[in-house]
Amino acid sequence: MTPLAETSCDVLVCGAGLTGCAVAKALSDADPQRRRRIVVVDKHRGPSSRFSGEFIHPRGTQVLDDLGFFEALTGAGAVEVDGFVAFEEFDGARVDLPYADVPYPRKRGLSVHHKVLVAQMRRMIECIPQVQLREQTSLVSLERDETGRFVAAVVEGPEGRERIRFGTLVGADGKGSTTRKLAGLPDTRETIGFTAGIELHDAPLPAPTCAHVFLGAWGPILAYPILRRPDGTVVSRMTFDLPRELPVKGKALAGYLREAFVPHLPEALARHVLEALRGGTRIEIAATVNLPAPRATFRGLVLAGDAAGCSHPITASGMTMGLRDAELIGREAARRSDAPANVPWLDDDALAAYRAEHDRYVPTRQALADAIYEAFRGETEGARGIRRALFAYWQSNPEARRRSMALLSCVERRPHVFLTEYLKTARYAVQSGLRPRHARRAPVEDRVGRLLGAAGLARDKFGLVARVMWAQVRPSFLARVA
Amino acid sequence: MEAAAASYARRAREALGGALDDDPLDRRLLAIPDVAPSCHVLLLDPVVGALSDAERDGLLSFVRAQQDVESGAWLGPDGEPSLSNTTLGWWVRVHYGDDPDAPELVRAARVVRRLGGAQRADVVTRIWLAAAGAVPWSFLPSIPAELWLAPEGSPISPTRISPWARDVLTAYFLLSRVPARVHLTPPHQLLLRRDDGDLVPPRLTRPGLAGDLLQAFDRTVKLARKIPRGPVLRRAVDVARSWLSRSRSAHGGWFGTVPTVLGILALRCDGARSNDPRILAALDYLRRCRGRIGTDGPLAQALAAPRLADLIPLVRAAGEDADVARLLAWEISRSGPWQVRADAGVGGFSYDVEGDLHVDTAATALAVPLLQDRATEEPLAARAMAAIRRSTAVVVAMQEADGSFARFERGETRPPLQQLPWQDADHLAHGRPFDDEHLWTTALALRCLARTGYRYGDDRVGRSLAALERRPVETRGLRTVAALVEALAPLAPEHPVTRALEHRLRTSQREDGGFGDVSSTAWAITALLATGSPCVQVHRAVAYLADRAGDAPPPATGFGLGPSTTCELPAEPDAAAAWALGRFLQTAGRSPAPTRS
Repeated sequence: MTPLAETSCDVLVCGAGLTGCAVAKALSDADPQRRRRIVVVDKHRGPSSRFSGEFIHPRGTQVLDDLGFFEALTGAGAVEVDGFVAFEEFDGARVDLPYADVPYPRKRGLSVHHKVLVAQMRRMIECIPQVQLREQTSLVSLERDETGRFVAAVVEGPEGRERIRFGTLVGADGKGSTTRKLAGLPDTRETIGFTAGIELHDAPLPAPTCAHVFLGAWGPILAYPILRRPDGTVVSRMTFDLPRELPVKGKALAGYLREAFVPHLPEALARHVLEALRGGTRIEIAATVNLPAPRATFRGLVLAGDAAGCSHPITASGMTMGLRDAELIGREAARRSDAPANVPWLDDDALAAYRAEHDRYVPTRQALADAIYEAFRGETEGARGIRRALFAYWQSNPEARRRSMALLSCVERRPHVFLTEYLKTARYAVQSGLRPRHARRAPVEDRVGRLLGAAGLARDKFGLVARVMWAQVRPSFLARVA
Repeated sequence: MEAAAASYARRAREALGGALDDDPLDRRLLAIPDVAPSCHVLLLDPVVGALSDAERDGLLSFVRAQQDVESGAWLGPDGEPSLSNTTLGWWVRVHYGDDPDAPELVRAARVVRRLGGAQRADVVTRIWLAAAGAVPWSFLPSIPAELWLAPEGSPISPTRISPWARDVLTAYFLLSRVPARVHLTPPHQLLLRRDDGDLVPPRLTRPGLAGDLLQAFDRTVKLARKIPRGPVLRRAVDVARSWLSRSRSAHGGWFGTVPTVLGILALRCDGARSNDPRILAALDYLRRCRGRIGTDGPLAQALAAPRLADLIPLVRAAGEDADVARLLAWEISRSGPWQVRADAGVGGFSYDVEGDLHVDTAATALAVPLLQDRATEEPLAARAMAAIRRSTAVVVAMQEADGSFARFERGETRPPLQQLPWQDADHLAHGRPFDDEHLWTTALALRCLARTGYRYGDDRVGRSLAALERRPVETRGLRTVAALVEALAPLAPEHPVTRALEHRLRTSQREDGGFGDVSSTAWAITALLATGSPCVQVHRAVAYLADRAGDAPPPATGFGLGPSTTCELPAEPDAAAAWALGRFLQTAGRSPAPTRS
């Protein structure tokens, strides 16, 4: 048997998507003396054909800017976005949730076609001297030393298999992470449904520089601009949330979208979407996955981005989380930029610090995404009650919208804010349950049913809230102990 | 097969065109009820004089033609002699000059007396008898004026009874306050008398202690009427007047023929002149409720103007874009009394053409798939999408707590006042929970929800299935079973209820391939196609329909209002067959014909 070729690096990054590229760039920025070697492997040549995340909140956009990607991306057509616009079912309430009100210096997010994003980021990291990008290269196995620390990986690329010794392995290979699997972590992913996406050209979005959430159909419909072409035309993405048991497949999907989703769009946009569907626009499908956040670090191994937990894309926070992970890893690397060459650049303390911080914001993000997704789908009386409550709350005053938006866009993480938002939503759920919208004399049993439904859901979610609260207030040394 | 489908579609197209004709003498009725509505219009005519000679003769021909030669009676929906219909039929014939000593009318009078006399007829007939002076107003239940002053949410408020009953009750209250007097020949021969010549009073309440107590209450109310109550009564009458005005639809009438007839009477008794715009509009509405049976049959008065639940299947099977556009124009665009208990915005489709006050869940649920299938191109598509969204919300809002769907207003099957042991209490409700009509409406509603993306995981769908699971589906018609199978197959194909209904449907096929008649067979084909690719049973049923494409199919039956509980639907089998064969041709093109194993 031919011995494997062998090489070494300080950090091996598995996955060259948004998080992987951002981690590579953050690490290279943390090594101004260019002493380190970073290898990035990805199994795809060029961006994956899979339809994936495209929306980044200002918090993540700031990271992109800090890492130097922002200009290149806007130059390639990325669109700066101003926030969200949510439409409740029917011709109902429209709520504007602008980033401008959020207490964060950067007031605009970024939305970009995923393939453009990845292609641009890869192009940039390829130019970094410390970084070596290897496409079409997959992780085959991981090795630990006698202390249990991950020390090497076998990868397989166009040149054959190779053993790479590393100081730290960063698993940034998405929700179906091979790194996670090879590290022996159980696969706790749960497919919660599918997302169908189409591209629209010059779609008449009610707020052209915002992400739109249209409710009322089986699942939420999202629409946002993703690409500004040189000729000034704008490509928008529209996604439809589909159930896990797909009602139809193949060509019938267009008909299903037309019947079940398009009626819930404003008239002009509905007309545009109908035309696109009639014209045979390509419908891309991706599974939506819920992955309860696994432990994010092991000795010699860091999980980042979707590999370290993901949830429904309704809050559009996945990419922002991945960028924050990259920022954190970069910060720890910078802190240890003077570490001698014979010890790992990211030692155990650095990883523990990463984990302590990571474990604070990820549960908040997951809890919010789960709760909002459930409420926006509205399959139960309780969920519909929470949805009504959310819209009533948002419409009540600008401060309510500001606080919610700060939480949703990953800027706010103070536990008391999360708790007060939860309690206020619960209060509005009670109020809106007792006051029907249209019925002049709704039967008492209806009101009681709504009330009990909302109360039941609030009770069910209380454990989640408690976990989030605990994640925020937990002393950081506990993460190290764990 | 294509030829058979085209033949059915052609006939459906003719029926659709005929139903929307402007001239009542050329119009073709889609739903033909018993004689009662025609009789009510004929009894009203001496008051308002609105019928032309041709219309009067046409309606009389219909009344005469409906009399059962053998028994002399006019039959009810159950095929048995109907006391009310026979009373009305005899009275109308005699009033318009027929000889009461003619053998068939003598037999009819005998039937009425055998059944307890005209004073035991339904409440609407007794209103006519009282107005004609044949019986005292005390033969009708007394309505406490305070009902109209009760808050909307209280159990005794008239908002809690079905819309048909509410219109009838309001008109009756105003008529009984005056009291009304109409110059009609009183049908004395039909009244049962004691030996001393006094009329035998009808028992107004049901037997039992509660009934006795209520009877005593009724007498108390009647006595209390003699006490001057001043402002309370005046206020109640004002409120009732306002109710009468507010409950008129855009088409000018109230909730169908009978409430409109009584509404006109009430307005006249309240002092409105015969050229009052409200009366003229209501008379125009009554005219639009008239039409011929078949192309050259007698003229008859329908329960309402062409009902959308009867029209939509014809549009679906054979309509053109103009018909779809016309349907869209009939979408309800103003608030109505159905929103008292249903939490949905304005939308949905009305019971009859140009009605804008009373939403009909069945029509709305039928309109949604029609718009999805037929309004896919501009300029209709975007407008249709908005109508679909509003209609779906209306259908969802009409779900009752028990999982079934109300037809016109939530709570219509169980109004609190119905619990009182009145003899006429059942008229206050619209049907019963999970009767044929409500099962049918539930099936249509579930089908609508399935087509608009609702899944089994939604608690509203789950509630309906749980209700169907709790009580076995008891229905007279296979059509309802087929409609349920079609609705449930995409929602919950493996659910025990779906399986049981599908089994029942499949085992109902007869030797000749049909499922009873053309209509049931067509519905069964559509349902079986919803469960999967065309099977042997579908092919046999399709052959059955194809064989009968040239025949005039027997009419199907639909649901009526108030005492007229069923209607004949002559064009329904054509529409159903055209649609089923169309669906089959569409589906069979994608899958090979099965072989018998």
